[in-house]
Amino acid sequence: MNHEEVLAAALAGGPMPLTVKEHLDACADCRSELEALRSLEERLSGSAPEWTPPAGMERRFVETARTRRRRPPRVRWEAAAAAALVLAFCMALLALRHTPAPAPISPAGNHAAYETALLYDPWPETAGGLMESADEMATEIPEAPPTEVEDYLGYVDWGEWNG
Amino acid sequence: MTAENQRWLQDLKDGREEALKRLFSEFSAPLGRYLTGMVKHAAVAEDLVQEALLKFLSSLDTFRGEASVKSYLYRIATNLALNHLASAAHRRETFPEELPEGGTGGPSPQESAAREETTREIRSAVASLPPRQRAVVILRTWQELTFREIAQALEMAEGTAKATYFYALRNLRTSLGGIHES
Repeated sequence: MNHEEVLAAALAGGPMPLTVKEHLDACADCRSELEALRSLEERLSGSAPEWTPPAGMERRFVETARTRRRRPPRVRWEAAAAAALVLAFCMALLALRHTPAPAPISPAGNHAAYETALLYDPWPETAGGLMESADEMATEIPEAPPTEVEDYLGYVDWGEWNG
Repeated sequence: MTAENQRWLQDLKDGREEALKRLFSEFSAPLGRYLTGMVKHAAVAEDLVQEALLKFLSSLDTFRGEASVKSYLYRIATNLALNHLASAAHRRETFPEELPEGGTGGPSPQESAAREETTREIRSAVASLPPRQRAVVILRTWQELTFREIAQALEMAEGTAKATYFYALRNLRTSLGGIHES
């Protein structure tokens, strides 16, 4: 044991270990310091500040304690509020997902209306307006090649090429 | 923990007035002295005493009685004091030295004046210790806690509490310049 350990053990109170006793018997410096520190301890004990609870403090404490006990813990409110927010968000998402597309869309192919419908239903089984519009567009495409091309090919002299 | 203490803790949980009054009368003054020494300001100490007692009540559901009620309360009070000191240092606050005077005795005016001066110097030296050393010294000398209780209150090993106490006393002896070694 070094000097500090001996002094710390000696100041701790209770029965003094034999090693501490032996060290103190042999070390005058430690004995001297221990005596000074014990004297300081005594003076410290007598220098404690007074403190008494001010009038009315007990009543305030009891009232506050009982009020807090009656009030539900704040953390439960916070948890409930968070749960309600999450639930509301989920319900809003579900409602948005299952809202039918605005109909009818005019046969003339109202693309602005269709884009709006796509927002509600990206896979538009119900977007009949577009399908009708696409059919109409398809019928407008001529099935036969342009006659000008056929006429032009008709004038080719294939014999020159095979020649 | 005794059956009587368990009943008392249950009464505290139930918010029974008598139990709350017992808690206050048993612990408010010792906590007040301790916190006054820690934060050096009686009004701040008053707020912290109330806060410590209320925190104790709100933690009763998790209090399993491993430490004594006293040690547990001092642990709460110490944490509050250290937090306060940290935030006060952050705000660079300086508190006036307004520790209330100690007990009254019957010595002559000259002796009283000399004793008051000595007491003031000792308190000032205690107040200038690092917070952990200050806590150990106050709990040991003013509050008369055992080292086991101090260790529980400050959440440190008992050996650490003893060593901290020794170094705190040595620091005090140095700062007081040996004038009190009579």
